[in-house]
Amino acid sequence: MSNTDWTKPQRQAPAGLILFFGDNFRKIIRMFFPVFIGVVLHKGDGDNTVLYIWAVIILLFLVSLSAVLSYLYFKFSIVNDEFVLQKGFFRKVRLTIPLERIQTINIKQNIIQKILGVVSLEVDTAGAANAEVKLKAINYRLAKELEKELKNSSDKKSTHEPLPKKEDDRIILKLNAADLFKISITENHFRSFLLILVFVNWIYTQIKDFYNEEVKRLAKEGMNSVEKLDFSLWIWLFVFMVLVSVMISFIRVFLRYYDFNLSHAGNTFIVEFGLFNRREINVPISKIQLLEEHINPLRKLLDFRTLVLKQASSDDIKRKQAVAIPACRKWHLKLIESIIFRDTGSEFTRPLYSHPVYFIRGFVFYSLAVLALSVFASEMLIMFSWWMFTAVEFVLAFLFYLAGKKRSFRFNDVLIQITKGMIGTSTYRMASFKIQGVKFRQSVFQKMRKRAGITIYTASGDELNVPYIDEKQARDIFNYLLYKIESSDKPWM
Amino acid sequence: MTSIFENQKISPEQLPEVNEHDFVPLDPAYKRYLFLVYSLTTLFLVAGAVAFQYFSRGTGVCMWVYVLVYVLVLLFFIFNTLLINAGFPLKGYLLREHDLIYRSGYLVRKITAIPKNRIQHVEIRQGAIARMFGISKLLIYTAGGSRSDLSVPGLLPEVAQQLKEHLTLSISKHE
Repeated sequence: MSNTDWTKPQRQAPAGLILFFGDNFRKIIRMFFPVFIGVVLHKGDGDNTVLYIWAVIILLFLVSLSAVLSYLYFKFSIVNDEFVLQKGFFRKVRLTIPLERIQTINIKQNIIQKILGVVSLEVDTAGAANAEVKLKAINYRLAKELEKELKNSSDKKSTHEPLPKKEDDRIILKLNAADLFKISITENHFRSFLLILVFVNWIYTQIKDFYNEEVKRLAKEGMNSVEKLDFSLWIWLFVFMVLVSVMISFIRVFLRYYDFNLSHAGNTFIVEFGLFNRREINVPISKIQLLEEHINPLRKLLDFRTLVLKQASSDDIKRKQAVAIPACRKWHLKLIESIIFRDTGSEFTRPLYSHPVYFIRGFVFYSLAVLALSVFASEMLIMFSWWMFTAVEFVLAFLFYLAGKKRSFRFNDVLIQITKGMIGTSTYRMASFKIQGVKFRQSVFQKMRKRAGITIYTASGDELNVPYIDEKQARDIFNYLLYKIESSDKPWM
Repeated sequence: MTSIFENQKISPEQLPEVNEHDFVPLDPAYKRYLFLVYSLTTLFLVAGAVAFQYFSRGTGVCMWVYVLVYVLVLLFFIFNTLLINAGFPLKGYLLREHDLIYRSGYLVRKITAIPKNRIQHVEIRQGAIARMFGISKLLIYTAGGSRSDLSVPGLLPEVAQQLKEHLTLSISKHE
């Protein structure tokens, strides 16, 4: 199948020239931004137009030259089981990555790359942060070939996984437009709502600077009419805001997750999604450390849940390494779990709940914050009422009550599971042998009450907390988790 | 309260326990080191307070504000001294067959365990002040991010070296 000789240094696709040009141009603009502003704002005495035109021409020439040089001197090859990358004209860089160190290969395409008919290919390695490789412009067929080449050779070296490799990808999940619509309707609209508020506020301040007087007058009239507004108008306003929020969510979800599909091939999950920014991400199953499941009440009605796969990573690239599956059903989850954990273990223990003191403390803390804010607000605003404060307190109390009812820890002989949440519910599952460290924590107050907490450290950089449980149970869990890690010789990555 | 382990194959009695008496205390020089470090910090704070008093002359700052600042600095010093005294005997490490455990904290007691088969690499560090006291610090890195990395301070250099060699050996065994 492979008809490219990878031992010879390869260049990127010629379309890469345009990308390099764009990149360098952007860099230059960013670097000289203050100068441009200065030039534009500066009203000199003489006419300097000719000078400016020359400056721009020289600049464009230099940028093109550097683009051509970076294109010509950017070469990659595979020699002696090492991926070799050479780049740079003035400062030459030669990067070699042993193929067995390669963790994942991701193919991505943004809108410009789509127009140019190229994709970018990123190679992630374990640990070494400086050894990250990004090819910005190669054509899709070549990218696929290279991916295969890199994968094959890296699998040859590290064969922890005894599973037979299947050639065909098994599709687990596809999301169509209707699914995306449902996802966006059941989003947490509070966030979009806040976005709108921020946006409106921004526009308001922009306008205010220009039309100070009129705005003041209008605001005053507005204030009067706000007081005159009857109830139905408030409802219409609310409905309008909700509609806008849903629309924003819909656009966001649609752009991000268009044509989402998740498949399973050999030892990896392959996730593809995005409309303008098309991405293909490979997730090696052995690298998955933590599986998160998030449900909100609306999504529960649809049997929709969001999954997040957290991979092993160093701190700085943590955010990049989480792969979200925006919606799937219970049986998808079961399937994915059985693939990740292989053996999902025996029946779970009964849940172990945190002591109410933990949530009461949280409630008191937030109440004090709200109280402080309220005192401040009552000084500043006329419209403030203590009824509002009381309502907020009741909502807070209810939320912390829900949190206390949900927060629990349970385990079986393979997995641990932590559940938490207030209105929604989040569940965290991981194989207990993949834990990296355990901490037992007890304050003097907890000691008096014979309580303690456990913190579990994972290789994805997440910390799982089991706060305020019975001291004896905490000790038992501490010992148990250590036993599970230490008695396992399976590779955690 | 019934144990969460009731329907499990394994019962907590079968598990190896962490015995509080087995912890190896840190070298007493570390206590003196801590006193010195906190005294120096206090000196800095005093210098800051003096500077504040000097530069705010004539701006109408109430005398009680200065008193408050000095009292706070004094309280900081007393509090830390008491805490070092009370907390030092609790600090210690425990090397077991399969893991390294470090215990610390008086107000909040913390017991952190890193299994040997999860250690990424081990390092010995010795700052300028620590060198004066002849103590080193052992740093143990895991893949769990910086928060789960363990540092065991207050070790005699030869002890730190022994621990490092022992742990490094077990890393290579697990690979």
